[in-house]
Amino acid sequence: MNPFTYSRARDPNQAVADISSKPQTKFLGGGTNLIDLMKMGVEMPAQLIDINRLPLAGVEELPDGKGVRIGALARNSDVAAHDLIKSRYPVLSEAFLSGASPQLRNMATVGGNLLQRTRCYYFYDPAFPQCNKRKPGSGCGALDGFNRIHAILGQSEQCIAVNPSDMCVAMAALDAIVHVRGPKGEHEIKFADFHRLPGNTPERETNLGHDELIIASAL
Amino acid sequence: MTVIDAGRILNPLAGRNQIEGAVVMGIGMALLEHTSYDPQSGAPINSNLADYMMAVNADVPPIDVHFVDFPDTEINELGARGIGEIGLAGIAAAITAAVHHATGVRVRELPIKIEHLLTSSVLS
Repeated sequence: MNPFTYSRARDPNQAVADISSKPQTKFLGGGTNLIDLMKMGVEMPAQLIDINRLPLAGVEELPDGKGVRIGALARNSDVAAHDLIKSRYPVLSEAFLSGASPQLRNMATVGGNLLQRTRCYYFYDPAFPQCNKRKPGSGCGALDGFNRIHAILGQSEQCIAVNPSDMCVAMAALDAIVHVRGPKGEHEIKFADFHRLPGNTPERETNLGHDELIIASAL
Repeated sequence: MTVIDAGRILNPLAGRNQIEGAVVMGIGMALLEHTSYDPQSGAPINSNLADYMMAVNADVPPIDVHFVDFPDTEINELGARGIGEIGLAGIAAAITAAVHHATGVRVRELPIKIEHLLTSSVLS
């Protein structure tokens, strides 16, 4: 077991301040992916900052017909069942319900889903020595391995893993905007700019900075 | 629908439940379950319940179980036989037959995958 410390964030600004000088620290939301990866020895954070008590779980209509804002801590199941989402963005509701199981959807957050990591077998199991995403420079086990579930578009010589999120496909189709808070305040990232192709740095999956916290997604 | 000859049925409720479970596993056998191995190391690559797919409630249609209920006194005086796994026997075969009926392709490998149909000379 890898020891780690645990603390609970009181407000978003404090959470951002707490993580900014600590590269081995991660935010903990629903935990449905991060905890799995910690058990497997893929993620080994020295510290977890639990953000579950931050007031970011709301789903609300924006004024003047500007759409809907989904808080980063809204649970997948709550968003899927929300009247605003079901009536205006059924593709998003259906995407949520096509993923995982009810127990997981009850825990998994929208912000965490944006950061869900690939289900490539070679990434997920450290018994396989090669994975450029898990261990940059070690090679890609999937390239000449069992790769039936891997990419046919957007892959590189370094990595052929795919994003596993059903939610992200719907968010991309809806041109969602991701709201992020960092040390310099809040800014927006267009959904198409949020995730990165593997290229030569498959270990970097998004353009979110280490010291940035996802606040919400807007549709 | 599945019809089972398992001799005299002593406990119809438990017997039906046993066969229903076997049908669910047969659906998994026909369409989902497979251990894949890394071609280089030989290690199983889907050795967890997230990547090893099994049929779950959402994959299962209503199941109609019938017993012939004909006592088999060759086996014993009671006429009852064990019904451990007999319910599994015909399910994958029935599903591959249905795939043949729908597409004209005889799939002879389990589980049935889309590439079996895409690479078939019948459909090309």
